[in-house]
Amino acid sequence: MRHAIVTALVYYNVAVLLYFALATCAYLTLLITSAGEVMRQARDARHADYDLLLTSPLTPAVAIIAPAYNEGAGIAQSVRSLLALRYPNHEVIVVNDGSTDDTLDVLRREFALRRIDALYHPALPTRPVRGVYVSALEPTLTVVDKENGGKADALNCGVNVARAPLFSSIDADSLLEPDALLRLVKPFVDEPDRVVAAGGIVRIANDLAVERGSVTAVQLPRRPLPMFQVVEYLRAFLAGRAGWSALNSLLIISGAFALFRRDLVLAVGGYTVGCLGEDAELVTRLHRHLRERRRPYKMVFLSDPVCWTEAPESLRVLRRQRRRWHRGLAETLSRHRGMFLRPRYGSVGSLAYPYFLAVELLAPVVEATGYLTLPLAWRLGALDPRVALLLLALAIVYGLVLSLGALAIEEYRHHRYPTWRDLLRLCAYGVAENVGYHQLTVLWRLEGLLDLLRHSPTWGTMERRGLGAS
Amino acid sequence: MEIALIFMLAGSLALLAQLSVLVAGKLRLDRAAAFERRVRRAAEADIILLLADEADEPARRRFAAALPSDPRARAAVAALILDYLPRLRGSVRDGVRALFSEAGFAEDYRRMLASRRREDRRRAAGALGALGDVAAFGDIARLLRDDAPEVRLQALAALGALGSGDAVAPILGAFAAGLVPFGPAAMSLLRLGAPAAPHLQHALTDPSPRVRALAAQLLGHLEWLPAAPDLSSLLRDPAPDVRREAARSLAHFGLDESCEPLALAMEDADPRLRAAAARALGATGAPRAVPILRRALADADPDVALAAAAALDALGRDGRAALAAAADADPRAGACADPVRAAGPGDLPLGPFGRAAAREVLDRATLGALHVADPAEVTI
Repeated sequence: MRHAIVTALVYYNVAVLLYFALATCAYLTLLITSAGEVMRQARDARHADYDLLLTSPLTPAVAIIAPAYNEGAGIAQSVRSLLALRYPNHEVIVVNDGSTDDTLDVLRREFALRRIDALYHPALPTRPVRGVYVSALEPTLTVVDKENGGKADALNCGVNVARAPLFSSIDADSLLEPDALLRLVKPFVDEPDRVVAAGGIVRIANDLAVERGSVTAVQLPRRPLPMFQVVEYLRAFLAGRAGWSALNSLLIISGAFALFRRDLVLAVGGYTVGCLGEDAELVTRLHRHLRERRRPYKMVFLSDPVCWTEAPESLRVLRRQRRRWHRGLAETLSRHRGMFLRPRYGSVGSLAYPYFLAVELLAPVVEATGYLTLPLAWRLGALDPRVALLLLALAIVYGLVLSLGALAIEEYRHHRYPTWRDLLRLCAYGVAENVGYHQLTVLWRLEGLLDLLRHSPTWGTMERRGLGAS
Repeated sequence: MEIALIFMLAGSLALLAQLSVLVAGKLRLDRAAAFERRVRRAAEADIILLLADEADEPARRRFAAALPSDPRARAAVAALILDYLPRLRGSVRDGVRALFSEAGFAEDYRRMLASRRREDRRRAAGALGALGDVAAFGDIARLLRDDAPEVRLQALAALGALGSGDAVAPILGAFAAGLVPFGPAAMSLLRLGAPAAPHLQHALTDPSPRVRALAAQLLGHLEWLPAAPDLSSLLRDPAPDVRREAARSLAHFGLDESCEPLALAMEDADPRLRAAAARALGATGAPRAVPILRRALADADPDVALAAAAALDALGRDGRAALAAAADADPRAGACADPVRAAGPGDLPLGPFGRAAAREVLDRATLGALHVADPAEVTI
């Protein structure tokens, strides 16, 4: 019996090692591809004439849809930031998704909202609309008040209401930089027949200096938990999504800041209500739709249009967020499992899907079982402490390679955190996250998978201080 | 164990390399920023004096005498002056241009157009475009076929800034060859303005449908009337994109003589062309467009029917009377007419929900119930 267990452990360890080696190769390849893509984008952005874009009749109108659920603390700032965007032709549609706090009251007060009689055409079915408001102060602002139906439902409502050929989904707790939309729309102007979706980078806004909806000074968060998330976000966007963008295989465009062609989203049926990763699911469905019809298209990630968002500051809220994200990823991959390794889906089916399945979705399972088998292997004498330590060191070193790679890209391309102190803090958190924080995220992601298997109901919302609050 | 050690070594080396890159990059950026600050501090007062004196000859001489001898610093000063250029007008702008010639900056940039470094070529094209250096036109046009995409794009922008209609042919050539994307090519051509129009009109007969569609679209934006007959002919082009762009452009002109070809376009299988043709018919103001548009109210595609309703409304008294009569006779036509009349004069979109609202009325007439919580709260 003991022999059988030891043999099984040895085989398991070999499998884990192979998995680790393959995952590391995938990460490193993605890092290198991302670096190349970000540098290419940097060259493009340097010669781009955004002023010309601002005055050109070729620049398409954009509807910005901001679903809001209990966002009273920061909604006014966010809407102001959206209205103040440097863009020639945009409307802002805030969808109050049955908030139980004072979100609607804040909007009413701050923007002198006036209720109107209006039509509502549910091209995409949604929960009932309770009222429509326009602002006496801001002619391009529309607020739709509807019964709670979740973020996807609110977004669908916004898509129904939008008039522009492009729409941008924005989290109501986020702030866009003034040029962000103009920069994000550029690929659509450059190749209007091909580009169907685009996403910008999301950065952590905790402790930013914000005045009247605009970021006045960039600084890193003071608290550790958001700092860990700064490193994570940089890694995810600059060492991940940029690479997938270069391969035209982005499976996730963050719903916090995305731009889509409205006609196409209507054609595929909008956001899927009840799916936690509604942004990834929509993007994957668009890939599927377009690849099945053999239509040439592009979905792009751009690293310079910036959306600032407030990150969770408590373990409880962060845990909820990560469980939700991982469950959303699992739901998306499960819904589109027909794409897995199918040649008709090109690089999405043969590269991105297997990567997200094996490396992103299953990584916490592999890692957690690894931690669990350690004591058993120790007890049975099947563990060489030197090898175990070496492997642990390897994992940390390669994790650091990724984090520092993302920081190097950030430093060369964007240089958002200008001081040496910032850089040192980022490096230090890149090292520190390997002890404790990373293991917690593994646990939460596992919980997300378990929630899906148990069909647990979805859970609560983010607690916010409001951007710019100290 | 050995393999793990090799991996460890490789990982550690990668880590060290990254750290070095990070530190070196940071130092480089800090040094570059410090250098720019230094140059700016030293030159800014001189530049302000130069501009205050309207860059006249004595001021230019004084400025040239104070220029640093270090080529890097000189280039930085030149870049600083170029930053001011888009905000300058009249004699000051001419004076600054003269300064670039006298101080040898323009010559430096022209030489840089042939540099082996792509960044030099890109920078030179940008600077010469900003300076409006027409002498460099041929060299910049050649850069449209440069190996580096960023150089091609900068050349495109520079040609747009130079404002010569001769730029149309090389730009369209690069576009047809797939060397430059649609957006920058279109913007550059639009920036050329009226001088580009005759050349774009000539391009309406180009063998490439992409080029014909682009030219048709831009002629509409430029409102180049002499192209109207050619655009009318393009409504029979074999490429659907070209037909559609031609119809959209004709809407910018509103010419009575476009009615017949637009009426023919209303029979096309492509609903987007029919909708564009309906709008263009509305822009003509011609009474003979009324019966055509009235028929289009029954189009199977709601976009076309709505466009026809809006076009009838835009046609004035006759059109509005026809729309009212159609609405009385046929509930579907009424469904098109209601949102248009409610919005008052002007084309769709209308109201806070625009086309969505209009579509709702149509769908209600054809598809059934409205999905609202309380009809008293969200009304039609």
